[in-house]
Amino acid sequence: MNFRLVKILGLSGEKATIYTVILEEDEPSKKSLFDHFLDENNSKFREEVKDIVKRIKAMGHKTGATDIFFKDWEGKPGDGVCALFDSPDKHLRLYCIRFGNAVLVVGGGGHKPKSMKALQESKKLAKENDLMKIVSIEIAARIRDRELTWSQDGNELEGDFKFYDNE
Amino acid sequence: MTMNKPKSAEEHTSKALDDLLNEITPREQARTDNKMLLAVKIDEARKAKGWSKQVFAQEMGQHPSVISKWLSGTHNFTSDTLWDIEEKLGVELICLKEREWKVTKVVEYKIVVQGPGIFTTGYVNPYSAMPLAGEINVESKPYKYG
Repeated sequence: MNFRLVKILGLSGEKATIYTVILEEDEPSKKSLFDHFLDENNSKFREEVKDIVKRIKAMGHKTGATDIFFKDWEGKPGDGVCALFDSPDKHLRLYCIRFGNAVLVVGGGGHKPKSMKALQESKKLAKENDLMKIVSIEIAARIRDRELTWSQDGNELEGDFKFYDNE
Repeated sequence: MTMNKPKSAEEHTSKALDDLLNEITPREQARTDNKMLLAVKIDEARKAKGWSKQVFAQEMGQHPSVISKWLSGTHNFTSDTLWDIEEKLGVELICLKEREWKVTKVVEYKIVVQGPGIFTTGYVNPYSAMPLAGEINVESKPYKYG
């Protein structure tokens, strides 16, 4: 899977840098996974989408991406993928990857049916979760190989953000 | 020898996100910020106490899922719940001294409303008017032309 990470200007702040993912197939439109999530849910769940944006902005500027704001183990234990906290009465799920409190990668997600017990019951959510698992593994490998390193203030990553085969 | 400067990620914006950010008022954002800061403060007090979330739930007499909601930064706490948390964790979450100071600081504004055939004037204490805006008391008298 070919993709690159980009920094979301409107959400990043002094407490955390917020990244998202642009897949190779979306390069012509420059739409990230998070942009797709917004487009797909904006009209039907406008207030919920707004609330998600406010919470991510607050993490960027005020609190950092602390673990309490997320549900862990939204895939297999240890795959690094989590979901932004959503209470049972909410309709949307958004998948993310945390690297400490200072780096957050927001991906895609979608509608979470009320009756859903496991994410495999929603093909859309399972697909979005699988995408983020691959992203998580690739980023972790780059950090391990020091192709991505922490900035001096520890607030963002630096290095090669393009994850393309043969490059 | 030239050192390669570490590269930051490319900055990204989109119309969908910009539209949403423009729609969110500073007051709305501040409300979310405060909820999340409050959750962080509670969680830091829990950690300082050396309690796991499970123990915190037991101490509060709540199901662990309720504690997750409290700490998610999305919960609207009642003052009773905040006082209970203060008592258990030994942390100040409601600053009453600050509130008392605000009550004693009264500022009056003169409000003049003019419309066709109406002249209204009055003084409003903004602090007392804030909780119940409908209770603003203004004196009115007929407006005399010429």
